[in-house]
Amino acid sequence: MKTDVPAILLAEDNPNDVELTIEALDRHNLANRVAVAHDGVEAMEYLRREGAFSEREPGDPAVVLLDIKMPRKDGLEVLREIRGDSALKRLPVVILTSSREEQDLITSYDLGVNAYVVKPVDFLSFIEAVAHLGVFWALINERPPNGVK
Amino acid sequence: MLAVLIGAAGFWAWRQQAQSMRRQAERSLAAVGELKADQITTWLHERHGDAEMLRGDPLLSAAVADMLAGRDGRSATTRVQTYLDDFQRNYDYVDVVLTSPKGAVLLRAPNTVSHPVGREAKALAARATTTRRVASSDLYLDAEGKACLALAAPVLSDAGGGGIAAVILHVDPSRYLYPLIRGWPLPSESGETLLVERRGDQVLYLNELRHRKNTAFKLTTPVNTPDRPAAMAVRGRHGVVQGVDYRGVPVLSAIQRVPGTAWFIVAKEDTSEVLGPIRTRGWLTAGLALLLVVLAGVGTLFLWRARESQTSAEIRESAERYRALVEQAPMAIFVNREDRVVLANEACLRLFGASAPDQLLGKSPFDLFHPDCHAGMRERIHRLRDEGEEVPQIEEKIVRLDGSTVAVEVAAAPFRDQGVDAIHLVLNDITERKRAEEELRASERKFRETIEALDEGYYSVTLDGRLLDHNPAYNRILGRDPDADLRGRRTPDFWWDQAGRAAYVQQLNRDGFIRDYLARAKTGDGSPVAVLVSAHLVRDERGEVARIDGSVVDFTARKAAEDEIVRLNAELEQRVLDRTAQLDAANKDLEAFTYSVSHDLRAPLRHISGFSSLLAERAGDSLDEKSRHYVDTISRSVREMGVLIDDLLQFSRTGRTELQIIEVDMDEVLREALEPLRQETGEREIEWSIGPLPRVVGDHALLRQVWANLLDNAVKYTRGRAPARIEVGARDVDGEVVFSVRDDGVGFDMQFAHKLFGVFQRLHSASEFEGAGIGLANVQRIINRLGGRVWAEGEVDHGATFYFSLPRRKETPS
Repeated sequence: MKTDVPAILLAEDNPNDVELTIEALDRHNLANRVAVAHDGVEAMEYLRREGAFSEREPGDPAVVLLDIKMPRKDGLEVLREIRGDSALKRLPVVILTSSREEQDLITSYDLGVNAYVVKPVDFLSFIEAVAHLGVFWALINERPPNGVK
Repeated sequence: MLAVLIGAAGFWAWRQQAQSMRRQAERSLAAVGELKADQITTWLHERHGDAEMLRGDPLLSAAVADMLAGRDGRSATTRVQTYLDDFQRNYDYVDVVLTSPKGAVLLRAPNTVSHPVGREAKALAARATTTRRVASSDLYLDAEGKACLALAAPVLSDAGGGGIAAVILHVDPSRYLYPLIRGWPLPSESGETLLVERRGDQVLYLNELRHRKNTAFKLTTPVNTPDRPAAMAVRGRHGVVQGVDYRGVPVLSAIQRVPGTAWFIVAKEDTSEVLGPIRTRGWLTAGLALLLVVLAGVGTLFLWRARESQTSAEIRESAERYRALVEQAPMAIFVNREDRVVLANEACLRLFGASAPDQLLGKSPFDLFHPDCHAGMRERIHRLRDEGEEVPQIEEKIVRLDGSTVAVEVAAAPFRDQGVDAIHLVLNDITERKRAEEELRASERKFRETIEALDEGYYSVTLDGRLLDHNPAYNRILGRDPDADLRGRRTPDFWWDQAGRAAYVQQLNRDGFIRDYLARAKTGDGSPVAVLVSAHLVRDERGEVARIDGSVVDFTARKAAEDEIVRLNAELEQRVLDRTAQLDAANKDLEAFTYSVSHDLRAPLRHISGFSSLLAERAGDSLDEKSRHYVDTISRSVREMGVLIDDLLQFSRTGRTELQIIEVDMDEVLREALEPLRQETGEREIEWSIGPLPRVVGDHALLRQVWANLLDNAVKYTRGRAPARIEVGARDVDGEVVFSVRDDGVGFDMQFAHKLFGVFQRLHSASEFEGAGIGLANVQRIINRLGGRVWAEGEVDHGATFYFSLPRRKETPS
């Protein structure tokens, strides 16, 4: 299926993490297929094509890489809204966070997250983890069918 | 004895009978004698009467006179002849002869017989005519040798003077007299009557004898023959005599004189016949007596034997019963015979600790008892054996074979044992009883001490209200002297109002108990005091209400105390609430902090790591050796920081996560904890010694973490040992289970032991042994949360042992 919509939506407030994440994806030629939202509100606007993203091309990304700790609206709230939105509920969501707090894990899985990845501190490990994620979700994983709307 | 009695009785009976029979025989014999004498006398009288009739007959005398005078011619002679013939025929004489006074025959009837008139007859005729009286002869033998008796009657003339003639009557004794004499009125084998008379110094037997023929006038016996009855008769003996008759046979004789004659009648029977029945009777009696004696003997023997066998069977049975009873008795029993133990039962052996009877038998009873008891024993033995008195049960001490002493109660009784006075002793081990008594006393003492110390007033009272017991608090609460003994006092007097007491009594009777009954009591000075009374009825073994036990407390004081408790509780509750709120707030802060640390502290590290790596990449080969070293150092530090943060966060979590308390299988937990270590341990030579571990109550995940930390340490600090030894074990100590992990690694200096469990405290450098120093802190935190303790022992280079304890799992009924 050929589409211009970026394959990955990265919701991440920290520009350093954004940079490192894109750097990692770039090593597998996935950098040009990443859209970035800088907090939860932006992420939802992007997905719903609202606000600044009202003009973007229609279509869902293959996966949302979601940080938990973000200003305005955190990742868990975004996940809850996605799962509560009939148009978005099947969208693959991967939590990509610094925290391995048990409570976060429980909440995420309870809300129906597709994967939960703790960002390794060590850069090489980080690159490897992110690259695996990008390749798997953007290229290998089969998306849920369109047109449910 | 019985035989002698029977013999005597038999003999006596026989004697009586013999005498009676003998007397009867004698009487019979005498009667026969008398009868014969009477008959002879009567017969003689008749003969005399005949003769008298002739003497007095005028017809005869007239006729004879005529004949003699020749008057009337032939007719007178014929008349006399006819008279004599008639007389002879009618009176049955042998012959009747008319003679002259000189004895010359004048006429005779029957005139056909010419019977000579003998000398005797002539003498008789002369005497009769001379004396004018009838004369009679003795028995004599006539000329023909026949026994004869003659009588002569004078024929008298009217003119008086001598008789003119005589009539001689010849009597043949064999025709009448002898048969009369011979006849025996009773059946008898040997009965015989003799007619004897004296002829000079001889006794003449006049009649024909029964046992010897042709003896009349022929047999004689000298008068002086001592025991011949006939001789005795003529010698004047009268009555019944014993003697020997003419045959030489012993006879019993009755001697009777025949009146008016020289004759004696001797009626005799052979002694053998007379006494035969007596002898027979005697033999019979003797036989009977003998039979009786034999029967009695046999009977007695039989009875005796029967009784003997019964008695001996009873004795045997009784002995068996006694033995069984003694052997099986639960009490110790022994028999003291002549101051030796001759019998001891099983219980006795046990009591003395003997394994075989030989250990007791033959011993002196004094050896079995404590010397303290010996004097008393001697006295009791004396009383039992010599005085035959009873002795009461007594407590004594025995000495067992192993020398220990045991308190016993002794009951003793005398009895006969195989013919010897013996004493039967029953010993009862009263150790248990004494202990129970002591316990009871101790219990009573404790009860007394307890109620004395009580703040509550205690009382015990009879049903009719008499105080049986009370404690000092009772006095205090009722406002009396604390030391006063109120026992025996009437408790109704202690009530302020009797209505209150009545309600109390009623409720107590109805329910059997009463709780916290508010009442007013009367104090010693008569003022009222509010008290709370609790009481219950106490029943005896039979279920009868025996007394009332109760307690009394000062209501005012208790009320105050209760109010205080309520106030304190409320205060405490408020404090708890406050503290909890503070704690909650602190927890929230801590949570926010760790959350923040978790997210925000790691991000910069990651960035440092990322960008320094990117920098190194970008610089590529242009980066010199030193710069590369810097970059590597940055990366390594960042990694360490990451581990540190992770550890710290985990430590934080172990303090906050909710405990999941379940029953935990420690063996399984240990296996799980060992699993991640396999990689390292697989490459090393480690001797594991893992003992069985008990199940505990705790949090499975946290306990796994504990084991993981401890085992990880043990593996880590034995690095360099080959082989290394690691022991895991558990044991019960004072209600706790203590687990331990011992290694033979580098150990530690005990003076730093207190630092082992501190957060980030390390006793070895990080370069020596990696780690953040958080593991043991975690262990301590977890174990403390589970109610246990941790500690460690060690020595440098000689290994370390880490312990942790957990409360012992409560037995749950499942």
